Amino acid sequence: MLSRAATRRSYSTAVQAVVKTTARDTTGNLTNLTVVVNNSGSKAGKSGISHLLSSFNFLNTGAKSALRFTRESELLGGQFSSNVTRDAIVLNTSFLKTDLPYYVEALGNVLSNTSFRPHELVENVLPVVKSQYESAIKSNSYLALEELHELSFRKGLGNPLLYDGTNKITLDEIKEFAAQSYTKSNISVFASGAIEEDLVQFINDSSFSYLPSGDASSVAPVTLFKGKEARIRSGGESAVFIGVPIKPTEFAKYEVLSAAIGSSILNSDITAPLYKLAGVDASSSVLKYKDAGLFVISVKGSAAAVSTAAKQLKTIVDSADVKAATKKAELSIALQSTFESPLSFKAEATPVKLGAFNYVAIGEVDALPYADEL
Amino acid sequence: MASITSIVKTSDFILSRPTLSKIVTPIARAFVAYAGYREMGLKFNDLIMEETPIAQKAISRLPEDEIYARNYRILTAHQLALSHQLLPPNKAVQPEEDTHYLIPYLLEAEKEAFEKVELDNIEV
Repeated sequence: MLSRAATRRSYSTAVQAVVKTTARDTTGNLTNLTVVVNNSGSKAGKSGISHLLSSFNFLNTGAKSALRFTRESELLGGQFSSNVTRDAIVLNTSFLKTDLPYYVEALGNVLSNTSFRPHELVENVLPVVKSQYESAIKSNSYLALEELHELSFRKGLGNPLLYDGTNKITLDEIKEFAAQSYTKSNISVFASGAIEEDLVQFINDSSFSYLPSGDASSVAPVTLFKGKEARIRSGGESAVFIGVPIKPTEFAKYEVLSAAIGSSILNSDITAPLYKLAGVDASSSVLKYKDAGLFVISVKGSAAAVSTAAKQLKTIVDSADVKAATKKAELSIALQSTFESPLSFKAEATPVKLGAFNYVAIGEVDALPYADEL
Repeated sequence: MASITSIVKTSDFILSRPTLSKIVTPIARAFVAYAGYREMGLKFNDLIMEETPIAQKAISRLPEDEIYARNYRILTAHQLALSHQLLPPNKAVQPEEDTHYLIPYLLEAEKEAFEKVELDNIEV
């Protein structure tokens, strides 16, 4: 890791790959191969359809059954998973360097050749999706964040992340969504620990080349909504969430604000004002998506403590010392920047007032303040 | 018991040989006529033993309308058996209605089961 070559990023120039490919060679014996399918996260299509499609990944394909792929992968010692985010469906695989062609072929088959058998939806996909949803909604923080997204963006980014079973989605709709999403223009491949030319060669020889070219799906412009409030009665921990929807150009200054008041990324920074609040677990973060973002301050704990702490949030934000936090923000940005999604903006010390915000109170709401009482 | 896969394979082989199919097809027709299940309102696939895990899986994967029709045919057959009657020729299942609606599902379920056995006993 000490050599410069170990962390060099390279882009395909010589032989053009059929999909956008980014690779870097690393020392060691491990390859992480990630396929990001843009414009197909939970913001796209019907609510929950991307979660269902994501759960269909790595099931039966025309070339190989799900069982055979799982067993072969076990024998090779590789791991694979498919996750849904608000922006994209992300397929992760990690394996030994020598198995690169096998996994490129497997991922190509998943994207271009999944069988979508009717019984798989009932027997494999729906039970998994249901259990993921049910374990997610046990967390009040998850519920509050979902509500905050819905208040801030309504449709698109405001769609629920996971499929909740409210709307009926048929297999044909999933197939159609897959055909729209899994196109050459939507897919980016990131390989860490692979040689660029080999990877491009394997991708061009695999089923990736059968993907339709597709045109970059036109994304509806994101509208930001502020000043909304929601209160959810729920057992468990009480929490107050404040969210400010922001544009991508504002990420830089909100990162600095977040670092100044106490960022969840820099949680060892005990001098930050949010970490000094008594009896509660408070932090802030900037959730960054492709077309918009959400600056979130969360305060969790017992209802009484949360109520007292929430009333100080406005003062904390408005009196934040952004000048002093620039370096901390730069560290925070560097920590959040990954190979798959590098962050390119620089910290920018502009004073920010809280202004209009969205507000979610969850838990024992009788004891929690209203938005206009903060 | 021979698996459905092997039976389908054998019958495909027979049908692919003109001489063999010329001999076997009339015998099969005679068998169906004497078996009389069509006069009981059943299709041939209703007679396949269903008390096996593979058949259970295949039946559970049938589309809803198919499973309804299957249950209706079986109820009809029971009623006819109790009342010692046969359906009149115009109500009996016609040869062109006697489709192999369950066989593709059985084949798929068997393929999965065989693959599982193979992978469970694989040596590397």
